[in-house]
Amino acid sequence: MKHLLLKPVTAAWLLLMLATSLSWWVGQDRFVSLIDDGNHLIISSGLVFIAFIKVRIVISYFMDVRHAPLVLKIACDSWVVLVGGAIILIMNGVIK
Amino acid sequence: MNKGLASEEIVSPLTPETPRVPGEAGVWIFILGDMVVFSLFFTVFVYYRGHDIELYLQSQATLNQFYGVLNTLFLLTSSWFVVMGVEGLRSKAPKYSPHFFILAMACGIGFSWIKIIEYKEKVSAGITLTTNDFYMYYYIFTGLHFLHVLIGLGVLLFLLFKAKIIVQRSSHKSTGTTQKEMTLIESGASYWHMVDLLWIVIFPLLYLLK
Amino acid sequence: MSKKAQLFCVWCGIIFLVLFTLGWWLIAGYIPPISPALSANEVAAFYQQNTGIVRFGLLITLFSSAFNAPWVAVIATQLKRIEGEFPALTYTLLISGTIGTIVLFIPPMVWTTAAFRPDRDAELIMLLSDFGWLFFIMTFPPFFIQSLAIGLAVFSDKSESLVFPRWVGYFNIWVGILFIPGGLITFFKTGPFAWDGIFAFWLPLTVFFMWYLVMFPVLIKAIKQQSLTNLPKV
Repeated sequence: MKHLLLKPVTAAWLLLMLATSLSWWVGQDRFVSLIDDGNHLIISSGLVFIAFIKVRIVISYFMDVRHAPLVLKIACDSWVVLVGGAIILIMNGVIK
Repeated sequence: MNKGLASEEIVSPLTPETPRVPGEAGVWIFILGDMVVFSLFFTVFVYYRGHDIELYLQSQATLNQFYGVLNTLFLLTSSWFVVMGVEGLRSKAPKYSPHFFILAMACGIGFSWIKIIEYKEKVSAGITLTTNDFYMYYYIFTGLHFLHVLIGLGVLLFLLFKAKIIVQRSSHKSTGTTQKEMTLIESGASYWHMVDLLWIVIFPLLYLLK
Repeated sequence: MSKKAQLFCVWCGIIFLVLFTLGWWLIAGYIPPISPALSANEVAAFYQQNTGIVRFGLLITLFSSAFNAPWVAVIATQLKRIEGEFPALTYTLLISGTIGTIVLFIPPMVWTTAAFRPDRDAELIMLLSDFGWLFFIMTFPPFFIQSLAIGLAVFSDKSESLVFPRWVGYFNIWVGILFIPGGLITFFKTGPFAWDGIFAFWLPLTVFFMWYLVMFPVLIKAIKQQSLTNLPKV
C-alpha cells in the first residue's frame, strides 16, 4: 500500500489542498479590507492564476496527461493558457 | 490506449517511455468538448461581471466561502482517491482499489450534501436564478456542474463494481486487469477528474474574486 | 440496392441544412433573433416591414424540415446494424427524430400565421412570435434523447468491424448535452440564457449544425463499409 501512496501524485494532491486553502484565506473579506482598492484586481488575477495552475496539476498528475502523447498535452495546455489568459485579460479590461 | 497490448492482455505498471492516452481517445473528445463549453461560461461571466462589479460583489458576499472551499477540498481528495484506486488496478495491487473508489464516492456525496444545503439556504432566503445576473450565473454554473457531479457518482459506482470484479477474479486466478478494462476505468476516472478541474475554476470565480 | 437509397437519405440531411439556412437565416432574417425583451410594436414591425420576404423564407424553412425525416431514417438504419434483433435504441432514435422533425416544422407555421395578417393587434403578433420562438428553442428533449440514443448505440457496438467509430458516440453525448441550456429561456428575457443569448441560442445552433456536418461523412463511410462487412444481422 505504501508504494501506492508514496508517489508524485500524492505530493501533487497535498500541494493542491494547500493552494486551495491559501486561495480561500486570501479571498477572505477581512484580509482584503486591509488592502486599498488598486490591488483588488491583482488579487483577483492572482486567484485565477493559481486556479489554473491547480487545473494544470490536476490534468498532468491526476489525469496522467504527462504520460500522454504530445497532441493531447498540447490540447490540454492550450486550454489552460487560452482560457486562463482570456479570463485574466477580460478582468483587467484588456479584451473588450 | 496502449497500442502494444491486445484487449485481453493483462496490464503492467507503466514505463515512462510509453506515451499513451489515458482511457479511450474518444472520451477526450467529450472531455475537451465539455471543457471548451465551460470555458465559454467562464469568459462570458467575467465579461459581464466587469460591467457591473458592484452588484456582483454584493451578491457574492452572501455566498458562503467556507462551503465553497470545503467542496473544493472534497473534490480534490476524491480525485486523489480515484488515482489511488486506478493505480492499484494497474499495478497488480487491486486489493484496496474498491475502498479507494468508495472513499471517492463518499467525498462526492459530501460535495453534493453541502451543495444541497447551500441551495436550500439560498432558496429559503428568497434568492433564485432570476434574482439578479450574478445569481443567474451562480445557479446555472453550479447547477450544471452539480449535474456533472451526479453523473460522476454513477461513473464512480461503475468503477467500484469493476474493481470489485477484478479483485474477486484476482483472488481466484491471480490474474490482473485486462487492457480493455483498464481503458474503460481510465476513461471514467478522467471524466471524474474533469469534474474536479471545472470546480477548481468555478470556485474562485463565483466565491472569491474581489 | 439499399446503398443508393441510404446515400440519398444522407444527402437529405445536407439539403435540410442548406434550405434551412437559406430560408430561416438568409431570406426570412430570423438570425440574429429578435430579442424577447422587445415591445409588442417592435415585434409586429418585424412582420409588417418585410412581410413578403418573411413569408417566402418561412415557406422554404417549412420545406426544409421535411428533409430531416430521411436523414433520421438512415441513421436509424445504420444503428439497426449494430443492434440487430432488438433495436430499442434504434426505435428511440426514430421516435425522437420524428418529434424533432415536428419541432422543426411547427414554428415556421406559427410564424407564418403571424405574417399572414400583419395588421393584427401587435400583442397578438407578439404572442405568435413568442410561441414560435419558445417552441423552436426550448424543445431540446427530443434532440437530447436522439443524440443520447446514437451515443449509447455506438458504445454498445461489440462487432469486429464497428459501424461507427467510438468517438462518434462521445461526440453525440456531448452534442445532446449542449442542447439542454435551451430549456432555460423560459426564465429570461435578456442575457446569455434568453432565446437570443449565447448559451441558449448560439451555442445550441452551432452544435446543431456541427452535428449534421460531422454525422454526414461518418454515415457515408458506414454505408460504404456495409457491403464489405456483410455480416448477416437480422
